[in-house]
Amino acid sequence: MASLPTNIEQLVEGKYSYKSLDELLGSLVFDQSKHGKRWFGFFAAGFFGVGLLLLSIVWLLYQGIGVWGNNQPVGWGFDIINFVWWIGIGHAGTLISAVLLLLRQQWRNSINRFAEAMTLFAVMCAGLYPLLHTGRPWVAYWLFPYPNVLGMWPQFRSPLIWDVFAVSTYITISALFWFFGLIPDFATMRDRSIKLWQKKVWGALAMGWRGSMKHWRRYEDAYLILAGLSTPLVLSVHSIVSFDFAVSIVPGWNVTLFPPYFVAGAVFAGFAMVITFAIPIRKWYGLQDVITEKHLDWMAKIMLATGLIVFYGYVMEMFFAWYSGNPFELYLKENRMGGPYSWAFWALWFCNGLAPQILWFPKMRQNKVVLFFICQLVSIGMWLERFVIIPMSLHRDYLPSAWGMYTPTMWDIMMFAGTIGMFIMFMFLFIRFVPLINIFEMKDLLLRIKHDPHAGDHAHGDHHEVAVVAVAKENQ
Amino acid sequence: MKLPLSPTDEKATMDLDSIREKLSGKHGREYWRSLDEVAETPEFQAWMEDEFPNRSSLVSIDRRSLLKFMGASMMLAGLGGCRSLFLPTEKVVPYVKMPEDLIPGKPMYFATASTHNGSALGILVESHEGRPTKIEGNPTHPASLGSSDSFAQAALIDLYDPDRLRGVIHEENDSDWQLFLAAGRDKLAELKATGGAGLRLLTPSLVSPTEVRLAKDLLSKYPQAKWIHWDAVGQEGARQGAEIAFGAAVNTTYSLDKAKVIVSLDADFLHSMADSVRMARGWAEGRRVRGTKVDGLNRVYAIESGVSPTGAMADHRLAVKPEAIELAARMLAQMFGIGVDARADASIPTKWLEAAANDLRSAGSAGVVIPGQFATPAVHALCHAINAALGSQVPAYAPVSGSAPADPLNLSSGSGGQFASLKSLVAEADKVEMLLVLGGNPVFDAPADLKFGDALAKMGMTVHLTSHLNETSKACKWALGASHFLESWGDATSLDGTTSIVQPLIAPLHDTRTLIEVLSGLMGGEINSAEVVKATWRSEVSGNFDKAWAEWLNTGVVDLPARGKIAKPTLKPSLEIGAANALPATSIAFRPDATIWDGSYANNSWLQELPKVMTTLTWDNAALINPRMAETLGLKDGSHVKVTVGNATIEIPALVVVGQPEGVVTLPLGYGRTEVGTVGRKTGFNVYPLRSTAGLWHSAGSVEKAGGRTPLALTQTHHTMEGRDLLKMATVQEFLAKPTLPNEGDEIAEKGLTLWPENEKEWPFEGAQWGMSIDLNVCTGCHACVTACQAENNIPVVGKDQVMKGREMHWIRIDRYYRTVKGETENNNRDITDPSEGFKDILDSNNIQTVFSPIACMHCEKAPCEPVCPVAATVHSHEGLNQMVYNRCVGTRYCSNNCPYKVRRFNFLNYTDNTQQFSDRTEAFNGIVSGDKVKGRALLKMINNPNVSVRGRGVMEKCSYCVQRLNEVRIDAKKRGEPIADGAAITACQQACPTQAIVFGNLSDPKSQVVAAKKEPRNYTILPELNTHNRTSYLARLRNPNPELEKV
Repeated sequence: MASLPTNIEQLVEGKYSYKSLDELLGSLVFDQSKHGKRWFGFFAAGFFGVGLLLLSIVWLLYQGIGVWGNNQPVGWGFDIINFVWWIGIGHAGTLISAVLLLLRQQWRNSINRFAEAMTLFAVMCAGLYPLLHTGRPWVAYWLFPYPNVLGMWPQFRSPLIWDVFAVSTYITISALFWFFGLIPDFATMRDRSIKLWQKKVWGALAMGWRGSMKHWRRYEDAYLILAGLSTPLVLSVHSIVSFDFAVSIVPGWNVTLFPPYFVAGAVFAGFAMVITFAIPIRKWYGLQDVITEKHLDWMAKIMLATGLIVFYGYVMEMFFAWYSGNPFELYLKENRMGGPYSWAFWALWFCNGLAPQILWFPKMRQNKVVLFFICQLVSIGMWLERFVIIPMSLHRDYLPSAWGMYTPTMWDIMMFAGTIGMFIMFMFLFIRFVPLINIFEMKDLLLRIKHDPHAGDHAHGDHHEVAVVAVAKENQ
Repeated sequence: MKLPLSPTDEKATMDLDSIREKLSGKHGREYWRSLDEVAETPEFQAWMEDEFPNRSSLVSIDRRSLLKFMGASMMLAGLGGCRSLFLPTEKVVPYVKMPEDLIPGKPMYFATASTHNGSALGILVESHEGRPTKIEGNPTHPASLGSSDSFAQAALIDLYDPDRLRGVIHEENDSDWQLFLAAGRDKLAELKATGGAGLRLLTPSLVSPTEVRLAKDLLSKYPQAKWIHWDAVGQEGARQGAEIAFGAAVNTTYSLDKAKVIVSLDADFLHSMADSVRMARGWAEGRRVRGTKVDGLNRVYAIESGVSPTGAMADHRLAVKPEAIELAARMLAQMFGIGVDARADASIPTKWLEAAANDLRSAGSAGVVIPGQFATPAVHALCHAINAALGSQVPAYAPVSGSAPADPLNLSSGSGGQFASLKSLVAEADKVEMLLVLGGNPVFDAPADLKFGDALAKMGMTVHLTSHLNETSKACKWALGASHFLESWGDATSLDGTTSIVQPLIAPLHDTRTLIEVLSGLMGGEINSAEVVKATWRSEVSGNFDKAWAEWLNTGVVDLPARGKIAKPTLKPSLEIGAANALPATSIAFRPDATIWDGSYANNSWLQELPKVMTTLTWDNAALINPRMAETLGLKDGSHVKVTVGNATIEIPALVVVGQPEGVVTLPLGYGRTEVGTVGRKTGFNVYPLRSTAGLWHSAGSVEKAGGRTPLALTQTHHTMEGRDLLKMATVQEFLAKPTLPNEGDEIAEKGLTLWPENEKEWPFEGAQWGMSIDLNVCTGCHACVTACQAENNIPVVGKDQVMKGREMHWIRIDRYYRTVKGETENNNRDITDPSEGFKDILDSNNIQTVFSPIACMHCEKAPCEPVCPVAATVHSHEGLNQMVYNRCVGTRYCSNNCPYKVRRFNFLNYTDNTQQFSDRTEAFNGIVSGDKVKGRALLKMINNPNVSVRGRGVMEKCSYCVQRLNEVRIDAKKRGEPIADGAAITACQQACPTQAIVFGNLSDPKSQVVAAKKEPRNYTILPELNTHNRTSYLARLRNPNPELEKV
């Protein structure tokens, strides 16, 4: 396939045997001494965040939505901003694991595992919000179509119902995909364990994986099917999330451009988060050889591309507001550029429009400090994008008499900080207890580099088998 | 019945299985025979008779199981007993003696009267099983004509206020009525020797003939005693003005339905003036336009020293200093040839006044000049003179005897009025042995220079009859709990002389007494207040008194033709009016607050949270200042200012009010109470320290910026329409030239621009189709509808901090925008600059017009809220109502986001049990209240309308078009087998509206009033381009300017 990089040898630097690769990647789990004070620091910070999260949830349930800053006319504030932000962050994982798999991009192999984990944890963070933001979360299950004595179905015309389906499908598929991809690695871990209890735990997780041809065959088929299922989700989930807004009649929400621009924004945000994690992790755990400069470079390029799409969306939003001649849309434009929250709008244009342009320069892409910094800006920018769309559209809509302002409270901020904490805590638990990088796919990559560095157009289904045979030989 | 003890018992061996077995395989006759055979067996009989066939008998259960079951039963029984640990125990007690005519579940209505601002308003009170739950105007009462105002509506919550004084307090200890009456009678007996020289009676102006009779009785028994009046906000100026003009104090009210040209000299006859409900109705009658028939439309010229609904609705408005009102009156009087000293002032253009005078002259007897309640006596006298010169038929006169003490001159200008008597009370403080303060709160609201509180401390036995413990009751030795008027027998007179009997709706909730009971009790007379009231009237009726009495109670009006009427007073040939004064640089005006008045409603949560008419401020008062002053002093809303009058200075936040006259700081009274219940605590700023006998209503003063800021809870913070065509207006001339003007540009709203099938064809309407029309030509923005809606629909109060977050719950909000007056159409899109965003383009305050538009749920036929609700909690009814199903709502708030009108309200917190609304900390006084744990929460629950769900937290709510009333009307019509009559369904807002601006009814009835209203050329809907097909529409407002002035 033409899209396969001709220089896949760049994807693994240094000389590795299958065994040494196994050891490098497996040691993150087996050699717990690799996780020192730094790990504990991050874990503790995340754990503290989870504490904050629980505290804010308890207070929220005890008091009601009123502890937040939401009001009339701004019915949705931090709750939905953060929901959309987290959902967006998850998207890179799905894109990397599913779309790049289907497109046979070998460079995904070293980053897909933790990107998928990120997806999972981000969707967990996101999922909290729609549940907790309802006035009566104890009856939020009414959003699900379940048989009940009331004879009531949800109202299927509401985009919030579409959301329920989109997000629940997304988290199910993502979790399956992630776990499924882990099975061969669990088996490797089982095989490499020394202590009995470790063998038992890994063995249970490996679900009886023995690495037979039959297993591999079925694994390949199932994995492809899951990838096929995930691929439309990359587009559909955020499209549907964007319908929450696009379907309404609120000026600034009722925009047909939203689905593609939300999807691009999600990938943009997701890659920013992947790079944010990849840069320090590869350094701290000596993974520079498998998450190479090339990886970062390509991810930066994807960010640049999606960033341009997003920025195009921003420009078009403003253009259409002007071109429509609709007084409410025109005012929306004015309010964004010169209203009380205009700082957020201009910060957004800087973070997501201007700042990523520096990635045009290869030197800047390769400068990890710059790249890391840009990723932070993008994460902030994507949060601001939702701020600009959600409260800024609501706070001044049709009737000026009903206009108001939105100020988040400490509970809003605490809960957001709490979800970030939860994300960090889960990520660091993941790093310590689950193979962070897909071991068998890396070995597969290694095989292909060793045996046939230029034969990119192998049929995908074959190469694992080749790899397995090769690995088996070497292990003997 | 014999019950089998064990399975071995012969008779118990039969069961259904064995019957089936015996019958199996049998057919036809054989089957029936077998059945008979079976049925005759004793086993079957026993089986049939057994209450629980096939049960296990005790014998068949083994010991262990038996013990298990017994244990489980005991435990469950025990758990059942624990219910009271976590759930309140409630007792349901049926009527032991069923009240006559009462059908449980059906409300009853009783006529009575509420008193506000020295005038009675006839009301009908809705009572559910003995609980008053709603106050409506009494259609047979001339001061109400079926309408009411916010004060009357909100009087209800005072009844259930947990902070009320619930008994007698003597020197801060609980006491009781027996002790008080004994002490009081002893003291009076002691005073008898001196003829009551040490006895003083201090009351507000009384409007009750019985109360006046009793006070006079007391004075006749104690000839040396004195009766002193003090009203913080009263009719003093009007009475003194009448003295000057006619030589006698008379009450004046105005039949504005007869008026064609009205000149208001600071008279807010649409809202804050006494008797405003009637006057607003009269004004509206002269203002209503049908079709394009505009001749006969009245014209209002308002000269005002502040902002008021009257100024907002006026065709021409001048904003001047309060002192200039008298100048304007003098100039106007001169134009009518009345000899009086006058001086011109730049703020009053002569041309303007001349135009008004010419208009008045051409109107003749249909012209009227109305003096403001707080204007000087000279203004009142001059207005009487001008009206006499015009031969005006508009003013109506009534005697003040209902309210005056024995010596009416006590009030008159000759003796210095209220001040003189209050001053003498203070001066003679040492000699006062017994002071009865019956109502009011003079320690808080008496002129600061009198230092009334200090004087009170020197007096002997001081007694205060009061509904709540306040500053005065704290200073008096005895505090007596006063009954609410809904618990009392009494009578009350309106400004026009109409008297109503006040009858109780409920026995006193606490151990309280009325003024009548206290006075007659002290004098040792009849304590049964109904008999005392009857005694006042018995002599006035020649025929069967009981029959007349019953009729008065039924209609709510005392039907005695001669009573309350006087001949038209004749003007004195020459008026004694002094020389005109110059205007100060800065004037400080004192006005009653738009909601809590002189402070007497400070503990009324409905009024505290009601947006003040012109400012939309809640829970606070603020110094109202003009934008120019704000710019000069560098003030923003809430910035503190120091206001100085004489030697007194107070600090108070400023609020910038567009249209406020330049150089005038208006200070609303009543806030900053220190001894007040939970609701009024820590609200607002006390301005009484600045108010002295020298300037009761206005003084020269100064204002400067102070540090500090108090955030103010405004319900509307954006004041311009941003160039949007939301509120349609036209001048009469423009409207006549082009009657379609209000609908210009709305072609886009043509029905048919829809993806959905046309309602009428695909989904035919069945039954009544409800719709509403609001005539902005007569809507004065008075907020009576808002309070009425709150009372009807159990709307909670949320408190200041929640209002500041934009979470007020009122289902109706009165949108208020400012615009320039000149050229309605050309400048339709030209707005003044919003004060909240700096004052770049301040226009002359005279050019500002304030416009109102009440906004509640529009009941869109294609409601944007409905398709976005994920659980179908907001749906359409077959009658076209957009309904909220509270029980189904999960609270995503998407409906509110998608509502273009933002009329939905969300229970962000548990507002129904909000402590801002009441106190549940108020403990009952020991031994006074039976079952002394009457908590506030339980008490306030009594106010709820049982036909409306109380909403919990996390649920969306909004205007329902009073669906509970519609259901009742529909059921009634169905029972009678008739269609719903036009006008049978009345919403709470419509019922309260003093100007009848709201018309409601069935859109599918072509003869209904609402259909007629919607056919008016002025009909328009808000945001028609959204194609929501609103059921609520508006009639555009017309301005009727004087062409003479329009050219200026």
